Amino acid sequence: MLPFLFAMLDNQKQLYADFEAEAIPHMDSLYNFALRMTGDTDDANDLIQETYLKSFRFFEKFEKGTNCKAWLFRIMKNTYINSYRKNVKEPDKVDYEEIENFYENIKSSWSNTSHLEKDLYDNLLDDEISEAVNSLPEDFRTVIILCDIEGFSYEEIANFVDCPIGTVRSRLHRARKILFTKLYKYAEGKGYITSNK
Amino acid sequence: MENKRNKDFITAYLDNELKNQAELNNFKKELEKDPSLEFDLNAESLTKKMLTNKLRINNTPDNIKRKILKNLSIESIASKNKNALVSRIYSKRFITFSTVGIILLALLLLLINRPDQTYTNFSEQTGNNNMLVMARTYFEDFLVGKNNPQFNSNNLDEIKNFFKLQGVKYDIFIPEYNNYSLAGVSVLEHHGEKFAHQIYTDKNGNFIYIFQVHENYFKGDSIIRLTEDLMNYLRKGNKYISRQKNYIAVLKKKNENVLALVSNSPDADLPDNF
Repeated sequence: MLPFLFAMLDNQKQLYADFEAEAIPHMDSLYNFALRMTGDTDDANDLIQETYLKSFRFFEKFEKGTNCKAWLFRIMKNTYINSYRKNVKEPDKVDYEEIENFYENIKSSWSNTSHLEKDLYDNLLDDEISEAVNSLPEDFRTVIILCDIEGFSYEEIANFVDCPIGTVRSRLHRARKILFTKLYKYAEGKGYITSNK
Repeated sequence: MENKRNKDFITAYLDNELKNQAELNNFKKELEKDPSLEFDLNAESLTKKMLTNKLRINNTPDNIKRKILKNLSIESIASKNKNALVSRIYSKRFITFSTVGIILLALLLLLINRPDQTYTNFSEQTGNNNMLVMARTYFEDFLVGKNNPQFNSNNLDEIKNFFKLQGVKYDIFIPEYNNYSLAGVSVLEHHGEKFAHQIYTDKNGNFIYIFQVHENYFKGDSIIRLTEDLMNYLRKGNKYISRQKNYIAVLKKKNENVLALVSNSPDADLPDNF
């Protein structure tokens, strides 16, 4: 009986060890995503715990050698949609036409972007960028986080958000344009843009 | 149309997702001759750079990390056994959903009609020296491999002798359970005293853990305790049953010993057979 017992324990230890090696290293990425999506520390704490518990329960179904991080993010997304999304206050709607007009004005007033890059990049802080990301509509915020912060490919993002790659690309393009204009407006308001246009 | 296509390409180009070589070459040519396109690329590139480099990454708080790891280690066996049970039920074709429903209803009625005394409410059992809390902790440690059996034998006298040699000062009761075999025993120290522990297992990987203490240890400045109301209840020959964290705990008195059983078995009759 003892060999059987130890074999059982070994199997369970192995499962736990595999999970620890494959899934635990992605905890901070998932926590960041949870925080950005819920906008609330308590909800993010609950969401990450629920995600890890669920993923552990289904870990035997995870296909070894495939992308564990993407698998964990999908579990988090489903958990978020089922239990947390209703509590999240959706940011105000973005008037994209207004964004386009403002962007074109910036573009027409700058012949060279090197000064602009310096003014924005050197002066803007994490909080200001973070606030701009949080103000994006959920669809745009999701693709921005997955692509620019987490480094997922278009194909992985398309699988994640269940839409074609072309839609991912278009959302990314729009999201970055919205962010650029928001950050420019903010920098201008604060007097960060001092270089010659 | 061409302009819209180029704008879409900006994003893909920036993210290294423009895979078609011909499209890539065309886009590069467009970029060289169109300053407006170059501005769009630089603006988008700057935004991406700020997001990638300047946005703070929030690490998972340490207490949450610890909580997750602890929950996972407890979950590791409970979920496995539960899944095995469910798959066994559904592998039998003759058991339909309605049959499962009837079984659940029957179990519910059995639970409702159990003798009242097993579910009497007592003061909350808390604290590191509480026998019920200790038994649960020993069981959880065992599940994660921190508390392994030290000895086993088919001969009960040899087992009793092991307890004696290891410094256990009281006689040990070694119960038998249908479908379960003794998988090993161990002696663990608590406040300098040695106590007996037994582990049983069945062929499905369910465990029964027994922590056994002589009642003298509960007297005076006790190093192990249970609330007085619960002790009186056990002295009358009753069993105390509690369910927590996917497993069951049962306390009962046998001769001069108090026995705490903790198990992850789905067997509803286990407390009755204890």
